Amino acid sequence: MASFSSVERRRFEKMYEAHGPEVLAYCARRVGTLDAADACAETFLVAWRRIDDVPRPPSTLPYLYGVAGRVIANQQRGIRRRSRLDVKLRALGVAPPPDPAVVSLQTVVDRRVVAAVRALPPLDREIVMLWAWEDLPRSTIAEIVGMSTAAVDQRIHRAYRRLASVLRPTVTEAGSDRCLKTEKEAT
Amino acid sequence: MTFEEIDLLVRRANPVPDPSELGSRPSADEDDDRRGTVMQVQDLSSTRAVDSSGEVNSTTEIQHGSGPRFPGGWVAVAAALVVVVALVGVSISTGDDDGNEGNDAAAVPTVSPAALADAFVARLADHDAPGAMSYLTANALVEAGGPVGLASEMRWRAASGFQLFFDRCREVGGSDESTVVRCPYAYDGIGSGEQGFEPYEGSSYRISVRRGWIDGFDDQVEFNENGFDADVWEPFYRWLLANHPDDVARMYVDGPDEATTPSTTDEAIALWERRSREYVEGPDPTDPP
Repeated sequence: MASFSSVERRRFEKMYEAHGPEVLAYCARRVGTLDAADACAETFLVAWRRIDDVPRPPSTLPYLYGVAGRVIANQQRGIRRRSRLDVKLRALGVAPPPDPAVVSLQTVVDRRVVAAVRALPPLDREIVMLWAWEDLPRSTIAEIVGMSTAAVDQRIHRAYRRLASVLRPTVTEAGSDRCLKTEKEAT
Repeated sequence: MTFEEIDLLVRRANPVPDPSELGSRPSADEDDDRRGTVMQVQDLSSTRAVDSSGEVNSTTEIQHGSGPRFPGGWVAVAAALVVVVALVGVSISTGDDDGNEGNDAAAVPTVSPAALADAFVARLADHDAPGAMSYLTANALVEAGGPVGLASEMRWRAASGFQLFFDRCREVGGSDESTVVRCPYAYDGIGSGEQGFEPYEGSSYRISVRRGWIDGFDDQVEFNENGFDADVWEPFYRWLLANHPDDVARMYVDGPDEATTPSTTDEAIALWERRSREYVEGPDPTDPP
């Protein structure tokens, strides 16, 4: 293995300290708990191996998100290869299973929203997640997905129109109330 | 709905709302009125094994505590990251591998039946047949129609737009050897949500858990008293008879006389997907007649 300077090592450690939680959260929002750990670890291994290519802040985090996205895509391809039956089910458009820990904590409304987000076309889905869940500005999203800021803006609006057509208005009020009531009753 | 309303809805549904929670185990005193009990279920299907005596040897750790969503999961994923960083550290430094092993390797397996059932029904809700099967004993799988039967059932549910919304599973009885858990759920189906109907309440799964495995389950579907039959099932059937009468015999095992049991052949599932979509959205001009 090539030798690495203490400067590079310090830089990597600082990068991990600064962005480890965000990258892990990014992965966890897209795959299950164990897969998220693997994907996050793989992302930082890639970053370590290519430490000279990692841009300086504020572009470090978008770069890591880009790497994590590709790692997850590879991971998902690997998962799909595991079982022919699984492949058939996914070919039907069934969303990847969310982590049970996540599912058990979400309200009915949240689950419906997450399902609707996951049903968006892949690029729209990624942009919506980066916008609403990673809370990134449009310009940074544009940098990650290789589009103009205006195109990202259009995609977000188009995706939200699509979500609005799926999530009928009553879900917001009636659904939330019902869930909160259920949880309070349960405790 | 406005852009802002949708934006708020999506942001509130963030499965991992706060990355800063990473690595911090929530205390028992933390407020949990926002999201309820926190449960960590580390991919049960991949961490379970059966030893030579047939006993379940589970390494799954379930935490019951309080706090915001997902923090329990941070412990596991943070631990994995620490391992990776440690490995990187070893690989880039010389002579610091002293061979010590961590003292936290022997996690005690504790899986509550309700948590196991929660994880199982999450797979059902996601139409994830292989995932659901991984929780079942062979006998339970056979009773569920075998791998093909269970997968077909889930394909039909997905094709006809069924979504199940589970509340948390709770123990309701059992014996010394097994525990019975009830998992209530509401559901949408055949485009009922798009038509403006609220999810139909009153159904539940009753699940028998024995030694860490599900050895039987029963889906107790309510469709009469909650109005699903009158709102959705019957109107859809009448619409089908009027518009695609030739499909009825292919889409129902007992059609057209009874039309209570859907067929789950590949052809039937494809028809269910097309017709239920058409029922809600109108005909797709790209579809063949």
